[in-house]
Amino acid sequence: MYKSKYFLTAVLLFVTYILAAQTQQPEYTITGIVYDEFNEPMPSATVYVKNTTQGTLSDMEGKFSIKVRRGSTLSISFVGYETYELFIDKAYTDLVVSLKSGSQLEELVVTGLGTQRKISTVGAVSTIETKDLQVPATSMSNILGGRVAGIINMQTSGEPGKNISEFWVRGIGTFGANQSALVLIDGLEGDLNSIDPADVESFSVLKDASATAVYGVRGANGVVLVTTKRGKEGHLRITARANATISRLTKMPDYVGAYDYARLINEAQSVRGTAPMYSQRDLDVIQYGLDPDLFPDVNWQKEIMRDFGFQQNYYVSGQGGGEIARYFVSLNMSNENAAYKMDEDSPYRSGVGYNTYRYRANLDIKLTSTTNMYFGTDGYLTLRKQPGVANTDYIWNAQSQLTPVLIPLEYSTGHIPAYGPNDAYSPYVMLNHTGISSNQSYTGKVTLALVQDLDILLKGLKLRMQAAYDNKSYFDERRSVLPEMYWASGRNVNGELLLAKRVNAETASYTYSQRQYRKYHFETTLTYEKRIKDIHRFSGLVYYYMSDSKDTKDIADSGYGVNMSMAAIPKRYQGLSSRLTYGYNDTYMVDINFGYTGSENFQPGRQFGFFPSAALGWIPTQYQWVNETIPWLSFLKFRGSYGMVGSDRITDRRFPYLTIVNENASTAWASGISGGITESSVGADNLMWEKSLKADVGVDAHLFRDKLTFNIDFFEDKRLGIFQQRQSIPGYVGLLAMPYGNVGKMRSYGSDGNVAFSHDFNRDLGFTIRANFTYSRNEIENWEQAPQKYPYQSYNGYTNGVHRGYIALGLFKDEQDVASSPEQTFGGKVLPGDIKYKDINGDGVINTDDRVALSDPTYPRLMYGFGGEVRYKSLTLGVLFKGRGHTPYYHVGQSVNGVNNGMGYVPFHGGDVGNVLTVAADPANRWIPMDYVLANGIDPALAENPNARFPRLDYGYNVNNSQLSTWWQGDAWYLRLQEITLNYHINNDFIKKIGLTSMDVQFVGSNLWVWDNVKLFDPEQAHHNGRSYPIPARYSLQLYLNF
Amino acid sequence: MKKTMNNLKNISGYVVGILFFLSAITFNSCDFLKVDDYFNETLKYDSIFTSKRNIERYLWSTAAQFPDEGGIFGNNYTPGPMATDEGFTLYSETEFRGMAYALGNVSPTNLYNMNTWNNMYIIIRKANTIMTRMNEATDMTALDRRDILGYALFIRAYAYYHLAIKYGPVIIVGDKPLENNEEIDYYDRPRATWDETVDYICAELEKAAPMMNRPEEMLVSNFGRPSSGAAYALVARLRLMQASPLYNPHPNNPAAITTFGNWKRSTDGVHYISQKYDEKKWAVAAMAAKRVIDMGYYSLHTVERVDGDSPNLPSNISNAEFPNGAGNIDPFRSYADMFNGETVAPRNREFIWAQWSNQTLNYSRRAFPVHLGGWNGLCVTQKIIDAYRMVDGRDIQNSSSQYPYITRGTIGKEKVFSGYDLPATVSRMYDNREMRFYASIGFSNRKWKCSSISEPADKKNFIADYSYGGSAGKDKAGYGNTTDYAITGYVLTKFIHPEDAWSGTGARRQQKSFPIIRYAEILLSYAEALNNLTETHTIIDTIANKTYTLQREKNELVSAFNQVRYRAGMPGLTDAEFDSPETVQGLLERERMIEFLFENRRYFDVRRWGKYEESEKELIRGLDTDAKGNSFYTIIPINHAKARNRLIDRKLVLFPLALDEVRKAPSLDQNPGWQD
Repeated sequence: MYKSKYFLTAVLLFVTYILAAQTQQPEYTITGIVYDEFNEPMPSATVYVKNTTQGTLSDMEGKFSIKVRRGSTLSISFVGYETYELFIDKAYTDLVVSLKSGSQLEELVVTGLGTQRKISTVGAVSTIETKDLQVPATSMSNILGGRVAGIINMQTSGEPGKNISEFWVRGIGTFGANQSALVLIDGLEGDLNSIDPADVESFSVLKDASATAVYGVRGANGVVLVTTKRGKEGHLRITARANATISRLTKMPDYVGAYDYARLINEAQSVRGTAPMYSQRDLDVIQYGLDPDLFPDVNWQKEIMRDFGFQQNYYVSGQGGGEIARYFVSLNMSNENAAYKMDEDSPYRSGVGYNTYRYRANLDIKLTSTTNMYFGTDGYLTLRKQPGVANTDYIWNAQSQLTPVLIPLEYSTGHIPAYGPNDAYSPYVMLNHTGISSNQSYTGKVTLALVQDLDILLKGLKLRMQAAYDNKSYFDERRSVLPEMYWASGRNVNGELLLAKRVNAETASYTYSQRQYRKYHFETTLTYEKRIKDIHRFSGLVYYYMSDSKDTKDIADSGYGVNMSMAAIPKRYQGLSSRLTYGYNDTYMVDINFGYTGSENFQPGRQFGFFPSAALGWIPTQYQWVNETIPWLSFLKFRGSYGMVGSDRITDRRFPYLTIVNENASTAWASGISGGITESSVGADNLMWEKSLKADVGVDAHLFRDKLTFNIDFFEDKRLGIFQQRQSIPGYVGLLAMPYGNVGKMRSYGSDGNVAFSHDFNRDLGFTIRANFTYSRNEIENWEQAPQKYPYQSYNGYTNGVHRGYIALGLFKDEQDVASSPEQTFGGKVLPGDIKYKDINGDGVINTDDRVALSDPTYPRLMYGFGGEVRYKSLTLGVLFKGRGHTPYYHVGQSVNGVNNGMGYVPFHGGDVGNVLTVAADPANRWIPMDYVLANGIDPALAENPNARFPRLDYGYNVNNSQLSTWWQGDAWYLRLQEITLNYHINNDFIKKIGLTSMDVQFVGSNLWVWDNVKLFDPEQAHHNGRSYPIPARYSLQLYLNF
Repeated sequence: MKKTMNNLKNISGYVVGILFFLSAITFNSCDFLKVDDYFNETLKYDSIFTSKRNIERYLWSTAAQFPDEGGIFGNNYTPGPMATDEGFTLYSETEFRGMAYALGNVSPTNLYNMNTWNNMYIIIRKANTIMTRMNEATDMTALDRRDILGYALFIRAYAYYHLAIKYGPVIIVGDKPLENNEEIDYYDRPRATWDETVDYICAELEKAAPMMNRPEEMLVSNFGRPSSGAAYALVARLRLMQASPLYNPHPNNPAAITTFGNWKRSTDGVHYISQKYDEKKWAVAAMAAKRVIDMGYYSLHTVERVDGDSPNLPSNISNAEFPNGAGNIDPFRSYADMFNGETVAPRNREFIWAQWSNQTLNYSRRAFPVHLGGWNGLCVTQKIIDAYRMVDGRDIQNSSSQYPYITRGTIGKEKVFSGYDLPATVSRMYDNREMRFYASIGFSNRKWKCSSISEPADKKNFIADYSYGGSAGKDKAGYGNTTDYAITGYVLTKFIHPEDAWSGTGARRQQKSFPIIRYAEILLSYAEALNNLTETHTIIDTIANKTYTLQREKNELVSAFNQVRYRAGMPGLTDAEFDSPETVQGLLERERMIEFLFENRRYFDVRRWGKYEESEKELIRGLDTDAKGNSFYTIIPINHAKARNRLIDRKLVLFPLALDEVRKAPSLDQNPGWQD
């Protein structure tokens, strides 16, 4: 909190200084009328002062009126029309502005290695308007799903610092080492979460071969291109933003209290033939809370969680410059607290939270009339605080594991409890009494570029050179302490607690680790453009780059000896790529791209790969007759592309082509020879890149005077040569170890697109509706496996990461059913009410051979978003829904963070650890034997319910019922009310009087509601069974100030 | 105009500068991806084959990939004695894997870490690599090449030998290392037949032998390196195996047909094991053994008799000088000193090929009583005990009055001979037995000298009593170590020297060598091969270009057999015995059982004789370790699940191939009876 106060003060001082420095120019009221090409008055044209947010719309008669300072530029624009600009040197009145149609021809889109005119773009590129990114989200990657066609994301934790989504461009296309997209920020690889949305000038997603081919071996998984804002000529313009967010944890798992818990234990034990743990007397003590030491009733969730978390975020940027130099500077800080309830008095209280700090400075300098220099630097500092147990997952595990009845928060004697055979302790202790750990990371980039116009050699020729240095450092430290902890085993004759010390106090101990990463990058781009009579347009581009990076983590992970010395060799890439485009009359377009790129990780002579692609485009609406025949169709483009891209990040193994030699092997049969030589790993022959053959066809269309726009793409991506360790080479070949090879094959396919409809009723009222979707599936065509007994055990022909398990036939009805069914060989006695599995191979035994592919993995295949906004005068109301389609998951047996789940859902999965959900307390949801029902006063109608949610209870892990099977399958589809934004734009005299140009007050609510089938947990985390921080609902108040 | 020109000049200069800079970077970056410099200083794979020294380093490290052949007890690479009727233990089957094999726990999906298939083919590949690439070295003379080639050939053949005796027919992969990253079609190939396998290995060994060191050339410091004699001896062993009933169906013993009658190669329907008897195979086996004998270098190990210390020979045993009798030798020491480390192994001319064996040494500790720091559980079965003859060569069932076999009472008076003490408390069951019995068996009340230690006194000359309540009885196994007792009543002492001790001041052990092949085996194999001949065969040794005429000739057979007998102080073969080939076969089989106890011969012998089921189905017997005093000496079937639940199944004749391997290669057939 102290830090943020200082920061605010600094920002205010800075702003005051800037204001004072500014000289006031006289202000004129400019009035006029806007006409279209048919001389019809044009409503809803955007009239605004360039480089400000000051603006208005023309009314139904095309009229407008706006106040403009002298020296500014007035800009009037409308989608699909060329923009009209006027420098204001006097008070113009009754301006007549005729907008020319076809301004769309000049609209630009950022594509690989530069910009292209939108009309002539034939690759599959998604862009998002940067204003759509300006939401107070916790990180950029969280905003993309449902907003950008072609991106699928998944967020599995809501905890500050961990609430960062994974995302994939067009889904997962490979089972190789690298599935994630290449993210380039101003041309350099970077982390999407390291930039503030307000710094973004453009955001594009390159999806097909044509768009990504220039990135060669880096582009197979798609490319996300971000450019940041740069300085603009003119006086200093300042944008300041502040927001405060309250997050509220919804969807917390609902666990039973001590009394229900104890009764369910008794049932779980009784129905398996074990004597119940609690006597009737114990149950009474629990029910009436008579002994809070030995029979407590603790709601651990309440003890460790507050209802709300808090985040604050401040941003300020300045932009301006003169003819010679232009600048853009921004600062940002964010502070987010987790909703953990912590003691405020302990010196080792952990204060779980996540703070980030960013800066960016972009400087453009005109060196000569033909030479520009660009300098940019940015930094991103993150600081994550956690308790001394160093991983808040433990707290979540403990929250779901520690039962209400086991230990109290503290014994009435003041002693802190520990429990269990491993001296485990409660989440309360973890949070407050184990010390502090923190993870700090810093990323800093510096980049310098020179752009030289080479018109002197050839008109339209331009050379750009860029060098960059990227440095990341990580510093993790931990101060851990432990208090003395006790276990109360009972009471003595005097009724005093019998306390035994379980854990000795540990005084503070300190550990740390650090990691460094650095990268050099150099690139050169030569571009050429030529236009002949506005009919033929040529462009050519040659791009060369080289990079060199090194990470101490690689070295630390490599082991020792030769492997270490190899891991320390920098990773290098070098490549040359080119794009040639030709457009005829903006009607026919051809793009030819290629990348010729290399990596040091391959055998000399095989280091470079060649990746060509081509794309075609046709715009029939350029023909007069089309316009006449279909007047409502204002724009139509067909696109198609095909090509090959690569992925060189095929493995973390260095130089897999090398056979590593051990020079200190033992020898035999010989004297005088010590230090035998033997291979210690087998080099892979014929090692190659992972290749991606991508095909894409798409349509872009604008209808009804561009009110309705849509585009849709269909794609297929065939991966060849996915790098994997061979499995099928027989032993008699005599290889020391299986070599690696480019043997895997996978195919993915799908579609993405979006549609938008925009209409303005008058200058005060307008609306836009938008929707987008991404659908992607994949299928493994070859995954080399050790040979399998049954064809259905093969990975081939199935989705990558498919869930395999048993087909549940239901619950065993009775002993007769158990006896007459195939033997289930998991161990333990199978009883009626246990899960019955299908004998797939018909061998009369249920064992691992009966596992089959059950469903697709738990990441979405269909992701969609829709929403819109309504503008009324200065008010804008935006709504966004986000959803995903059928997404199977399992409550039991699915691997989550490397562990099979089940805990948190199945009652008593972990015996005396593990809370029980309230749904399990409803007898209708359990299979209960008739005799138990009768003996315990439960409604007999509920006995032996074949459709119960949970099989016959068991106290402890039930191996038969805990297999991954269709029994536990669920569908984690959801539709989320992702966002509601209410924006009030203030642009009145008062604002101007206090020195502001404009001000926006924004209220944003996100994750406000979810429709789903999971109910118990957030659907995005369904398979975590409540063992991770839920995705909170967030309410933000955001303030924008423009000076 | 001028200004423009100037501008142009300036700009041109600038552009030229940039272009210069660019080309400089590009020029420098041609080698940007060349990172070889970083590992130039490390040895590259290709550099191995450029010098003689590196090839040798590679060659001998390839040899180091073979298992210690003495690793037959625990952590064993082959089922070994514990999978036969000679050994038994209660120790965990995961360590004593022979027990797992005998109990039927081994399956193609769980080979208990005994799967040497891959490792042997790794060796074969390395040998092929050496042979393919050795000519890259420029510093080798023709002689160097011959040396390296000879041993590379031997290494490859020896690896195939390991595969053949364990798994049966092998896949012969040829001379070139196979490509390392191909599809299965490239690799797929069927197994050879048994005859193709043996013929190939023998031919390779015969090819290697002339290039290897002759036995007389072997340096003591190179002990463990096989000589040409080893190559010929392995041929003799393989040829005998090939001729034996399991692989060569004798009319009287058609084991090859009963065991392998339905086992055909799936690719072409050919029987893996020939279903037609061929007596010539016995002649070839005889020739191979005779060839080793004719080398004239090897002889049985003997230690000279010391009057007053060496026991007197019973009168029915020839007093002539060895090898015509046992008059001048000490039979106990002649046998015992070979194994316990007393005789310097490199100088022992009986050891055609032997190696220092840490496994043998370390596992000898398993036989030591718990009190002496051992684990007391490496047991020998009663069947073996009963197979040892009386000192005059008679069976225990048929003992003479001079050397009677008496099962009750103790000998009453300490007996000392050949440096061996028989304490007074020893049961009379163990009196008057042949010398190899005393050398090999730790029976109750035997004295454990541990003479290397100075103290404590109670660990020297320890009398280990295996009866319940005795000094090394079941109840002394120690808390939590319920397996540390001699459940049969006998442990193996063959590899234990009187000095050996594991605890006490100054405790040390003699270094042990494990005989891979001994001359005694060649002699007995020769006798066995001759014994199976009914006609005269002429066999030409093409390598030495020598012709052998082989028939069941009395002198040849008896002299070979008797040498082994005399060395042990046993009587020679009688004429009556010789006249019946069946009797001779029986005697030979029993002789091998005794002579090669725990030398990993019996596992293979009972199988090749087609007697695996017959010998294994007998119950494992021993003494009653739950009984005290005299009752201990009651011979009973071992009352333990590991003894009762032994699996008798014909499939155990051949070790299974890993299921994974069989599934990888479509043409690779599994051994009969195992899951494929």
